[in-house]
Amino acid sequence: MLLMTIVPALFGVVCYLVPGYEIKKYVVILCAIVLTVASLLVLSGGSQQLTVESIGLAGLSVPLSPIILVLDYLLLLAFLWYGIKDKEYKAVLLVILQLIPLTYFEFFMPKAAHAGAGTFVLDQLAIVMCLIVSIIGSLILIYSIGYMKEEKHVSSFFLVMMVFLGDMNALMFANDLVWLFFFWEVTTLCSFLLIRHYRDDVSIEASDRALWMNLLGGVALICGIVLIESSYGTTFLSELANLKAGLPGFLSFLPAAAVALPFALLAFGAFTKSALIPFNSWLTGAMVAPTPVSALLHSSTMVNAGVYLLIRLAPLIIGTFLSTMIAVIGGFSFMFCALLALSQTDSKRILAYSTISYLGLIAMCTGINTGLALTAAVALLVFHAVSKGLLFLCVGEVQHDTGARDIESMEGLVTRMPLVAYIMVIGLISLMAPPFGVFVGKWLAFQSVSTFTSISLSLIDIFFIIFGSIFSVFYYSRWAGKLLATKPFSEGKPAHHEWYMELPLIVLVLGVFVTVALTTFFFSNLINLPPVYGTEPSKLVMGWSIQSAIGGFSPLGFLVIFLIIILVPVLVIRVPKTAVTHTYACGTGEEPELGGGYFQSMIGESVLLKYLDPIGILLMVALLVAAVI
Amino acid sequence: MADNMLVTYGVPLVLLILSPFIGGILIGIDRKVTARLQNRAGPPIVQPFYDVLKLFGKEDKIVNKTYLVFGSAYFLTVILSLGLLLFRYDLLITTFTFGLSFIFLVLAGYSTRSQFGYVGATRELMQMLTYEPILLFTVFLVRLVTGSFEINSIYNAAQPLLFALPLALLAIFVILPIKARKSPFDIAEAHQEIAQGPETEYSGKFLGLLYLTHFFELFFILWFVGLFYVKDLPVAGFVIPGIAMQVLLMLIAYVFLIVVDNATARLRVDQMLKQVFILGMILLILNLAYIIVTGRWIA
Repeated sequence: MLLMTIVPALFGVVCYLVPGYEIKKYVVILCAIVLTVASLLVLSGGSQQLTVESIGLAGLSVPLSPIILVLDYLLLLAFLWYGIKDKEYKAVLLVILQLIPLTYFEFFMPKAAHAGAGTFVLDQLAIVMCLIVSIIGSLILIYSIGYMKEEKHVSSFFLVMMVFLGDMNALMFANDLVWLFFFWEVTTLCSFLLIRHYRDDVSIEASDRALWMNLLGGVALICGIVLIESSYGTTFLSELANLKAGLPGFLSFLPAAAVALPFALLAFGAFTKSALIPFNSWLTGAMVAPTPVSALLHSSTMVNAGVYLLIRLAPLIIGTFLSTMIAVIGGFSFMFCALLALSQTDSKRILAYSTISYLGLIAMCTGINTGLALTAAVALLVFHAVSKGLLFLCVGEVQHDTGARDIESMEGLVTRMPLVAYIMVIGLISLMAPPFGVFVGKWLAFQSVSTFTSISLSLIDIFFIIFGSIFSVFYYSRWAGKLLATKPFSEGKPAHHEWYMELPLIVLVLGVFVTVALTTFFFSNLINLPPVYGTEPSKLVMGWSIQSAIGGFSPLGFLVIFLIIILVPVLVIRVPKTAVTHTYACGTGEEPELGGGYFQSMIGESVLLKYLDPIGILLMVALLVAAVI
Repeated sequence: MADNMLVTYGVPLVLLILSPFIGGILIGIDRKVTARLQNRAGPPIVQPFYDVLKLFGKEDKIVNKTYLVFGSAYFLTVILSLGLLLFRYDLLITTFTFGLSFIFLVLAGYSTRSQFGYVGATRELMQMLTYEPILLFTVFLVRLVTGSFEINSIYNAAQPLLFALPLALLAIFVILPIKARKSPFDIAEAHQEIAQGPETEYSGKFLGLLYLTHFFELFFILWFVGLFYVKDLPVAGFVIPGIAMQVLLMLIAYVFLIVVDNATARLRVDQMLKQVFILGMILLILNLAYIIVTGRWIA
């Protein structure tokens, strides 16, 4: 536990202090190993509750809560300072808006005495999240050794990366919402610092945008926490499920259903963190940062915090209109971000939009809020993290070696960088096709969308999921096709290998296959739903297949079949040198420029966002309204 | 018990083995009929098999290995999805697997880096964008009516699908020419414009393999349409068995394909996208409203 949270930060400090890239390198590797081993220890330890009230410091026992409080204020002051320095007054205002409820909460609010709840809870969900953060995060750390070799500001880069990882673990384990708020704000700070890594105008602007959007979420979060304390009398997540809520006195003018209001605020915070429409611009802007940062933000940390919170909230809002609203907002982002991704040519932007679109899908699943849907949400979270981490690292390596990240210029990459290109193709296919994990998640999501007991607004989700899936298939296959396009008689130059960057790729691509093979194990052992849902994901597993009430599918079986379908032709087909010929060109021997098919004038960012942003804002308003009616 | 085994596994297996022959002969009849309509003599009905056999004896001309691998994967995946359909696996998975076969064809088209292959692959994707939503939505409606994604539940339902989903069947008829690569939607392989689209660079036995795949494909889509009527129909004293009704429906779809193929000219991609989306989605939404209003759906 301690290993997971504080130690990466300590390693970070050590790494910051030691001189020279060579020594730093070993500190980073050591940190990655410690983090991975620790996460595996947590996995084998199983779920447990921990109460850490104080830490022993040089024989002196210091209670933890005041420390966090002090750090909280320091953090907000840091935001304030950055806001004033960059003349980003939105951020300044939002920090002040956070300071008020926080001060009220900590000093003026009458609080019930807590007893018995652990400050940290390591349940199945937290363990799964911790595995994602630690293992994928460690691989990204190792990858950065290769990537950052010739960059500036390396020391602070590694420091922030490691603090970030430790903090994400703490966020997953935290049971007290006040602590969760603190860790939440630390992720905001870390991502802010990482995005402005290059310190040029573009990255400072992007980081400021990320800052104010996430601070907006922070405001919603702290307000939600204050409301939860005043209506439930506790801030411990594990206790909320068993308590009956009463509306606090100062809100008594609202109808009784308004007890859901704090959850609407928390969900709002989650949406900003997960960058759903209309907050998508901070995540696409964050692409200016070095690629390991993008990989970290998109796959294993930051954005996952939002949907993680949604999964935590879901059991508390079953059957409410708020829940339906979350499903609609998620589905909306899923479909339209997939459409936006379709119009992009920049590989990192495609990945950014596709991340938002998948986060939308996960949010949609938590909003549908049945046992099946939540299983789908957790499964999607895990499998998406593996595949997306892999793709970002691939794109990073291509950009590092060729300097280009446009998918048009990646044409025929298999001859120039075969290893990376083939891994990238596998990564792309794993995001859309059976039997890979993301497909399993999508399939479960499709099932849960088509299972409903009453006709409601959530019927619209069926459109979102169908069109969203097709759009994603479109842009992934086009990209994969471009990578594979090779002309006959073209000789590739021998690729240059950077093992620090390629080793994580190989591990992750193996991870893609291993996670598919272990899907049934994962469902039966690692996903555990609160009892309110009535069904256990382990009931879905029958032998080697996943069988719900309305359909069944065997991931392992299909993995074997598809491996045969691909590998047998690979091994059997021989291409004799004499049979090789030029492509058919009607006998002219020349061919026109090929490309296009992005429909920028129809569905480009400038066209679509004009409409999507206002609709997104309306949806956010509807979310808050949905909670009080 | 032995009888049961025979019906559950024997019949689908026989059908799977026969399907390329049925598909091939249907394509042969199609060519003959089309030729007669155009006042030509037309090839013999078994000409498609002659073509395939001849191709297998031809010398290969190859651009690279990747597209051959994906072409073969396309062939195997179509067979796999037909097998899933006949052995009554999950309908949703079957649909996705059939969709995956097209992804393989698209990847094959792109990986040749030929101008015709490239344009054809892009058009193939556009076609997929057009028909896949309608197909998936129909599958969703089937799930609503029968209560499950299992194909078995279509056979066990009280009524044939057609009674609950008449408009969805019409929507399937709208996309039928896309899946069968026929006019007005033979856009990806528009041979007067872009040679053979994604299949341009294939030759010899690999082209034969693709021809064979089309036989399987035709049988797949007809069988899929046939699922809309699999129940026995009692008519004035005696009973028409379900399989006969299914075959009848398949024949109607087949004749529809030939008629439409001969009666229409090819559309542009954007025309296809707009017309099919608007028409198909209106039909499906009306059908959804009908199901909901009459309370025919199962939670």
